[in-house]
Amino acid sequence: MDYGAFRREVRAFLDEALTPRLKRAGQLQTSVFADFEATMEWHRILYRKGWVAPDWPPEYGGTGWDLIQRHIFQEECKLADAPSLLPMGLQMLGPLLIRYGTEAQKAHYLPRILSGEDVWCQGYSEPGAGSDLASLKTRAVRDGDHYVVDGSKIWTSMAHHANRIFCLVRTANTEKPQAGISFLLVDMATPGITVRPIVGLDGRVEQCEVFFDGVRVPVENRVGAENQGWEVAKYLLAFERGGHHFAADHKKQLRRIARILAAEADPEGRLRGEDPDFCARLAAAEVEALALEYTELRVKGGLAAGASPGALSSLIKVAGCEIGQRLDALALEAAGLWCAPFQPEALSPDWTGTPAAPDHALTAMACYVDNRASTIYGGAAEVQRDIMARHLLGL
Amino acid sequence: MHLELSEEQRLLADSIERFLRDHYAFERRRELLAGSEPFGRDTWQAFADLGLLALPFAETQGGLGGGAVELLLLAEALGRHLVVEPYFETVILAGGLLAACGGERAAALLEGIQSGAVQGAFAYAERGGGLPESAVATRAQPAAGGWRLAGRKAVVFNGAAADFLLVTASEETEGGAGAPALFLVPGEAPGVHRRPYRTWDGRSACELELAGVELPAEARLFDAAAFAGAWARVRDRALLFLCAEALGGMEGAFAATVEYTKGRVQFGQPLARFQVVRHRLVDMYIQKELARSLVQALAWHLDRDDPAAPRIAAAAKAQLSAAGRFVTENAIQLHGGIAMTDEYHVGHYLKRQAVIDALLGDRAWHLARYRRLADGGALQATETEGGGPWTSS
Ligand SMILES: Cc1cc2nc3c(=O)[nH]c(=O)nc-3n(C[C@H](O)[C@H](O)[C@H](O)COP(=O)(O)OP(=O)(O)OC[C@H]3O[C@@H](n4cnc5c(N)ncnc54)[C@H](O)[C@@H]3O)c2cc1C
Repeated sequence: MDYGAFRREVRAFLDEALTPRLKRAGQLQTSVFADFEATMEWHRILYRKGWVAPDWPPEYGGTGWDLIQRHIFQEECKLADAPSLLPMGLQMLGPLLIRYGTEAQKAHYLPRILSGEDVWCQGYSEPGAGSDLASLKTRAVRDGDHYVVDGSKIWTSMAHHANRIFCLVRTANTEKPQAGISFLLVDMATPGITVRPIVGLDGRVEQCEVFFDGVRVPVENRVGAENQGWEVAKYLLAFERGGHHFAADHKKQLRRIARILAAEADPEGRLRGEDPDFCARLAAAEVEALALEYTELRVKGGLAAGASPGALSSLIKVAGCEIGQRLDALALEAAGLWCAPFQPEALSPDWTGTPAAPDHALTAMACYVDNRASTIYGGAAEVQRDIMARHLLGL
Repeated sequence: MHLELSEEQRLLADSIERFLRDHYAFERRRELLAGSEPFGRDTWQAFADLGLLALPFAETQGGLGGGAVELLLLAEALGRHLVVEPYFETVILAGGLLAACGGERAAALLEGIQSGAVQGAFAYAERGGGLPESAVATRAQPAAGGWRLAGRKAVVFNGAAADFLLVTASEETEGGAGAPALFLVPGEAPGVHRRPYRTWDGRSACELELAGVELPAEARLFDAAAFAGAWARVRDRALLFLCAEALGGMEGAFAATVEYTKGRVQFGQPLARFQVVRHRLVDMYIQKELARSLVQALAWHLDRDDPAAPRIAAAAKAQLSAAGRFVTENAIQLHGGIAMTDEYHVGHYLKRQAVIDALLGDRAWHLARYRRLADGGALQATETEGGGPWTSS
């Protein structure tokens, strides 16, 4: 495989396909999610190119690329400032359906994920069930060929944009709470669903509360057997944690820092990039990021060979998120007082006003604040460490 | 060990705490920030009525002659309650510089500040960086018996609401940036253009453009040499104030986290029962208490006009920055998702802490300053002579 040629091919495509507005959306992305419209536009462009789901098996619409190619692709996308695609359909539900879905489910849903016709959100967490997900209370009661769902989900990312939600629901009260959970695919247009957007610390809406009041869901929308949803959900969580490409994120962060360093002075008026103390700390963080990149390649190498990512995905998630948070703190430090202006509207690619901070510092505080969530969602860092202690170290 | 407080100091702390508890609930703060006012005018007037706006000024200047300990008590409470009103900007920075200047015009403005009628701002930063003592590109040229100011100032806190601005500008005619002198600029002077915005910590700031602003001769409050001296006197109290505010923020974030993790049940037990959570809470507590000691020691040194005060101030700002970030970041972490929302208070402590870190020199700068002031030497034997401000009662 000539990876150099592959990289050039990807680059040439990105050069041509990424419009200035799409690139802007990528530059202004401060969390897992970029501007929604831009995200979906980019999704459709990649779909038409056949590159929207490189991690899927080719028979379901994947690209057939090897691990290194996929790594290169993600890296090039990030470095070209492409907006991130929504992970809920492509990274979470898709692989899950491929593994556990019925033929009918696969035939119906997978193409719609690929085309972008369906936008999925993930209904796992509840007000009373966060880290302890298995204690979830949203009930699904069988009524003929339907389930009737009552309860509520919280922190549901992008629920205000999604037309579908995959949910964990309680279908039995068993002694072991994990044993009474089922996995349902729900159309957000079903009567009885209401969505309350939640304003984040950054002043924008990404998460929502989703309420279910007598929502009727066809039984055929269940994935896996009744009361077997936990196994299905756990498979998905491993992909949620391990399916992310931290190395590409870190490189983008490092590049953002480099832009600030080239433009901003430290309090003494000396260019930040010439401050040996700062540069030493930055180099240390960069070395950690490099160590993580090779670890990602190592673990994904195992994945490609058919191993389940299992607890190793926890390792990547914890290390990847914590390195990312350190990089954000360094960017914030380099941005100096430019961290202060609060202009959420300036982070929209369509905004035409004059920002209070220069372009290179526009995202520093939002990235720092938003990324605090990365050690909380998808399983808090403390819980991930527990998983590793148990399953990697056998403790 | 407690800070040894006089009866008056205790009353002061109690009255501030009571007022903020009764009138500054987090919900009210949210409503305020949803509106268009940069801060609560009624709260500001209440501060005036409580005498808080006169607190740090000398009695000869109409003030209450409060010392560093009084400032510490006030700032700590403001930090704990996430107060966005511009006490630091108007009273500590602008008021402090005016008080250092003296004279009739300063006296009139100080009276206005103390009565609550007048707002001020200190415009020093340029292009997002810089300290009050940094060289500036903004120029002051002699013109028609007075001055003509031209330049741009960045991130001027309280700048939009300010009736007057204290602006650093260089009198040098040559080349790039020059040593700053200080000028008094009326907010409504022709050529003053302000572009306001909110800041991440719920305050307001502006970009300030000075497009050939004509000022009378007496608008120059300090020439470059005098400004350096004046700022040195204001700076350490300003640092004390920021550090104490950060300490208050740590207290607020810490208390909320203890409360929350005691009540929140996951896996059949309160989060606070998990050893990892308990140890983290203890680490937060340790950081908070180490920080408290330095802030209180700084107040003590300042009230004694101790020559060690600038060095302790550098130590405090550096330490508070690290400790404040550790505590407020972990407060979010231990709360989980709820702390990432605007409607819950705990995440807001982190945002204020991050802004405080960037104000008047960040951690790295203060560590370097500490090294410089310590003259390369280790801790001095006499450092803690006298024991500090504590009693064991
Ligand atoms: C930005 C964001 C996006 C999200 N998106 C989604 C989504 O799309 N869909 C969805 O279903 N959920 C989503 N979540 C929810 C996320 O998965 C939960 O926040 C997470 O599982 C933690 O649950 P919790 O918030 O209830 O915190 P809790 O479970 O109450 O935990 C709070 C903190 O306690 C500590 N802790 C908890 N358990 C232990 C333990 N056993 N040992 C030691 N320490 C512990 C951790 O520090 C943890 O952060 C999102 C969350 C965020 C912040």
